[in-house]
Amino acid sequence: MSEIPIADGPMTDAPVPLEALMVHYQRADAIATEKLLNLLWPLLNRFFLSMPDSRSGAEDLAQETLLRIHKVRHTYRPGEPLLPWVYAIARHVRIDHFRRQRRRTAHEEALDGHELEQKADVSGGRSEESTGDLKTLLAAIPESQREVLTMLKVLGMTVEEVARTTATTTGAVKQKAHRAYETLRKLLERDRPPGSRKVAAAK
Amino acid sequence: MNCRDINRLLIAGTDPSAWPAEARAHSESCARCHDLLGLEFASAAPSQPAFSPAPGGVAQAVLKDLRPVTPLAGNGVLTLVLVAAVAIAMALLLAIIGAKGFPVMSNFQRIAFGAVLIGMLLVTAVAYVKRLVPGSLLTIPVRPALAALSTIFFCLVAWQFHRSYDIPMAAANLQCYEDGVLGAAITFMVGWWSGRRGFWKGNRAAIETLCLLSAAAALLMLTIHCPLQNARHVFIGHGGAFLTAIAVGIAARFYRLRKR
Repeated sequence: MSEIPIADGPMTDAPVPLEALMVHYQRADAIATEKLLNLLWPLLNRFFLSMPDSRSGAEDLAQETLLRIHKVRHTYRPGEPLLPWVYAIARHVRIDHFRRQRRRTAHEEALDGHELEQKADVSGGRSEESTGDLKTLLAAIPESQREVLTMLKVLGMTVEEVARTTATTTGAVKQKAHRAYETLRKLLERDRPPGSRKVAAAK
Repeated sequence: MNCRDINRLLIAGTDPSAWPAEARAHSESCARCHDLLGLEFASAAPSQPAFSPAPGGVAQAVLKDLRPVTPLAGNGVLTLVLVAAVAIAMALLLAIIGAKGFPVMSNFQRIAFGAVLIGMLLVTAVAYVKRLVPGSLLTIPVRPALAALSTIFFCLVAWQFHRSYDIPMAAANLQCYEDGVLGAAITFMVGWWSGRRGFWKGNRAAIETLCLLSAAAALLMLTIHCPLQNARHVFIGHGGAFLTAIAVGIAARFYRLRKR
């Protein structure tokens, strides 16, 4: 575990790493807490906005995550990277949100007798017709693969950070990413016009 | 160089301009890779300001409830506490129902079964502790590891246990099944108590892993308890309790998610 420089006294205005702010938060330092909440807010918003099934209620989910972080702040261990810990909690909030939505949709379906909406639509995603559109392509790959790919490519996380966030091994993350790329290749090949396919094959 | 190698480079996050010449040549000649590289993943990122204050309501709620907390102990300490608590609970249960299995085993059987079962217990205990702490890095995939160790266990049983007994086996199977389920239930409660400070809300993976730990503890307890060296009995009675605990864990994790 890496050592984090942590002053014994209260926080000052100097820039401090997130991990050090978290340690001060655990010690009930109000200035550090406020600073940390303000720094985490845009990161959490970005996290939820980048996932199709949590895009519609990103702000609410980010708020819920901050409150949940407050409740379980003792589970952060000084010296560990903070962002995977934060994103892991955010991921649980997102899964809970998805479960709630599924239950609500199932309930509405039972009342109205309507067809269950498509998962992407349940989650607030818009139906995008244009083929080759990245969001459409991402929506077409399985959820677990999409989640890994989004974290790696859209949020710019490392393989280890994704493994920590999703509570899996780095090997499992790499395998999911491999599969996601293969699925994307197949989708891109399917969407390619027949003429260009021949040209590509001739190349 | 092939498409899989390109995948590896993409996963590693290296910039295509820094790729080896063979990789660049492949990505230019292969239409599938060329298309994939053309995807602008960054375009899917939401445009967000680097800094924006958290809503006042949340900040106020947090600040109002601000008090010092003690961080969780390290993984090693938590695992030790958990294993010790489970061992004490199992020892108490064995003191009541008897430990007749180990005395009738050969030295080889004691070592082989002991190593496999303790391995199962440790793998699941470590995984459970890591599940309780968000952002932990799993180094061993718990389900495949448990599947491999339990396969070794049951292969050892099939190889070593060939005795027949002049007793009603159905009743013996049921008795061991019940004892095993009881052992698993006790382990579950002890495990939950040991990890009660961990991250629980919405964390179904922790419940599932705790069930896997309970299954491993039940199998260990039954192996120490039961003197019957009959493979069919172990498969039905002991294996039944083991699989029941695992099934409960898997159901707890996936039931609501898949329910329509």
